[in-house]
Amino acid sequence: MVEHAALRAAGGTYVVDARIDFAFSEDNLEAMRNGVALTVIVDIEVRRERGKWWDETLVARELRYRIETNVLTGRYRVRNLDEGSTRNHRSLEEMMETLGHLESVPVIARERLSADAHYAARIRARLDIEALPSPLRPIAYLSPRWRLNSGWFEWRIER
Amino acid sequence: MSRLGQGAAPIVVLGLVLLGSTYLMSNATQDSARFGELYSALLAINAVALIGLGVLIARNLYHLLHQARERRPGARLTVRMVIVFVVLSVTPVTIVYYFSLQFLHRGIDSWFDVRIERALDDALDLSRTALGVRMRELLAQTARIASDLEPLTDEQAVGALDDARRLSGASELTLIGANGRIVGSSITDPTSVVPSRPDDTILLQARGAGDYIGLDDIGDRGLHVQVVMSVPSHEATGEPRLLQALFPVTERMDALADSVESASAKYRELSYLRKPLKLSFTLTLSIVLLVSLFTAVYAAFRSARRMVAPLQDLSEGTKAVAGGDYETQLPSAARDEIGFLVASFNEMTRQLKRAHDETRASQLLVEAQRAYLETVLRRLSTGVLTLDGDRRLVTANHAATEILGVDLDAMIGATLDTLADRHPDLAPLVHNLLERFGQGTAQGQREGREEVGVATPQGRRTLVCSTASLAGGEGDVIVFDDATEFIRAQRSAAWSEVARRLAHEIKNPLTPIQLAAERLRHKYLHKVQSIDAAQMDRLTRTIVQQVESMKEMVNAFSDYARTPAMRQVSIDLNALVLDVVELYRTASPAVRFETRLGRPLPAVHADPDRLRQVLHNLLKNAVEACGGGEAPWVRTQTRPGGAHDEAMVELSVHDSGAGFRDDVVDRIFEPYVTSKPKGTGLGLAIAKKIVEEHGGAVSGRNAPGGGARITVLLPAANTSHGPAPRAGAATSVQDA
Repeated sequence: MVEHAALRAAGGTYVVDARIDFAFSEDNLEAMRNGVALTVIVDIEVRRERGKWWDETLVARELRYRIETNVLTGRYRVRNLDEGSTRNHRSLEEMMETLGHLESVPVIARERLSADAHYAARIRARLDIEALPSPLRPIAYLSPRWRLNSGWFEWRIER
Repeated sequence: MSRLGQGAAPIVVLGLVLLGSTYLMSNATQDSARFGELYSALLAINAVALIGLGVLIARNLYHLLHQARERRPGARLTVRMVIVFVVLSVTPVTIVYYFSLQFLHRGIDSWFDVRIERALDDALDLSRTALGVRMRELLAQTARIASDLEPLTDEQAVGALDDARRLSGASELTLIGANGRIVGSSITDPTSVVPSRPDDTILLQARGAGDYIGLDDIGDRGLHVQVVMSVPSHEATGEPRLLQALFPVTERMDALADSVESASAKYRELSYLRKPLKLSFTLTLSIVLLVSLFTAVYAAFRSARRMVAPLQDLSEGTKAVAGGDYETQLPSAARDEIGFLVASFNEMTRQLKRAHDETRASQLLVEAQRAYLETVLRRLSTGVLTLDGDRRLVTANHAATEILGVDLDAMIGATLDTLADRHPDLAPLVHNLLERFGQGTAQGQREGREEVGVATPQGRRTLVCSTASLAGGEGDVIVFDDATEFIRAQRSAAWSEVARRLAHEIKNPLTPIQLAAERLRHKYLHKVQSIDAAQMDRLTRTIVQQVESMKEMVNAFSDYARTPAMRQVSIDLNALVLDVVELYRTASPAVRFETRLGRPLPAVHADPDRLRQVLHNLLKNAVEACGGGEAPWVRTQTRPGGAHDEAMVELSVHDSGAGFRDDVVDRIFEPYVTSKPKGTGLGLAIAKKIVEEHGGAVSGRNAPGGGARITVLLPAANTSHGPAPRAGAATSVQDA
């Protein structure tokens, strides 16, 4: 669930700050504790509103994180698949806190937004079922406990 | 061909899908990355194929059941074949499926062993223990460094860090101030300039509860032992600082620990995925099974239908042929036994059609001949009857009906005896015929011509009748001509000739005889004595009178033979009748004259003088005939008459006399035939002659209530003008 999200200007770029509550189900955590890596995707989109027409998607960013546990050390490791960086967390809560805290994610250059148009941004987080081991996928597709999707959190960009 | 193409395409596609599915299944066990990616898509494709097949089968099944319920030809056979095919394909596949599933589950279960699991856990524990020993050493070492750093100020401590790090073998030593700020650090790795900062929770723990020691992955540098402990301040009141030491695990240990960890993790994952794996294998296998089953069932439908189709065609074709459609040709089937059957059927229908056409042609020929014969018979003025072996009437032509005056069409199928019973008038004819038939059965004996008199409603008729046996002996044919008119005409002509000759021969000497007698009387009457004179006077008078009467007779004869030119006009017969009857009423007051005049009555086209003579002759005859009786009467009647399409006017004169004698009734219109004591015997003959000159007919017979009745038929003015109407019409006129 997306608790909060905002777009702000930082230099020549708009960046997104967001707080997301990853409500992993017990099944997800159970799988994770048993060595199954979970991949979460955060989608960020900036769209130009066009009234009757479909909104035009100006930019769509996809942030991918892979979460796994280390059996030996008992750490939760989050790997940012876009940057390749990893971070270890000693507890689930700590990992969730860090994972749910998006700060200054660059989204779009300022000059791409013109003054005389209306823009909206939206964000959502979901579990990537296709990244699960294949035996789990049919279950994941069929079970609501696996189909995690925060839904779009949408807001108008005010300038 | 198109059917084949149409049917083959989906089967080929489905076959490929099937193949893909099995390929997937064989690869899925290896968890190959490529198939891992395609897994969901393949699953979806298979599911769609399954649904598609299911729909196809459902549709086929529905159609088949529908056809079976409607009892369409071939539907039941198709149902039976489909059932056989399905049972044959489903049973082995289901058995294989069951055992595959069993093997699969057991196979997957056999991967997992409690001992292996425990061994892996033990290995993990062993790693942890080994690392724990090392960690305790490192904790002690860090404690020593911390105590070394305790008396030092921050600046001194930073300077001592490098030495302490080198001595202890740590990869990184970091001193963190009371405010959480990094005071100083010493790092082995020359590329890394930023010291790693412990998490806040670790810092909190180190400050409060005590030292922290943990095993951690530090970035990309591999497994490290992280120790964080507080270093008391050199000032008594100062807040304690924190020291973080990161010790690399030995490379060998790192590799071993990593191996144990990854193996353990993998095993755990596999163990965890055991149920989903079984489920997904079962799913895959089930889909493969269903796809192959559905394909088999669908193929069963198609092949059953294809096999039954020629039989169905045959069944329908047979029905069509049974229904009389010999044009039926079936599409040629494959070159198997059924194809041979179809070819034979086609050949059979061709031959049937040929035979049927020939039969039809000969039937048409027969019908044409029959129609031809019927036309000839219908137009024949000769009556033709045919009888079967039992003397039942089989056919009668129009002329026969006309001549006999009996509706013979209604008598078809009746025996001759029945005919005689129903129509007593025909009894003489029937008896004559039966007599002939009775004479012998030999063909020659039966044939011959004979005249037979028959009473008909139009008077007596003379038929010239001949019979013959039909070819084959089953039945007879009777042919008869109405010779009445012919005989009458013959007689009439003979009499005319006699009359003309007599008149000529007798008239010539009559005048000299008369003249001689008159001269004798004139010259010698006054010369002879009185007695002789009286005698002479009587004698000569007698001669003259007799010659006069003879002359009259001769004139009457010549009148009969003469045919003067006719002057025909339109006449109102009723007026003429009233006119003439009035004369007789005054002349013979003893007789009651009755007139029944039909009104309206069509005018007749006739010579008024001659028609008047006819009336005179008839009325005179009638008055003379009834003269002796009590309360004599003469009834004159007119009415529109005639048969068929001919408009005629009928005139009849009926008297209360004794009627015609039986011996003359046939010949009353012949000259000198009379039943009266006096009269020339020419009255009716002349009347008949005149009527016939007008194209009319006259007939006479004894009325049922007694007395003679003469009926005259005259053509109405607007129809026949000529004195000689058509032959057929003349016959009908005479009949009427």
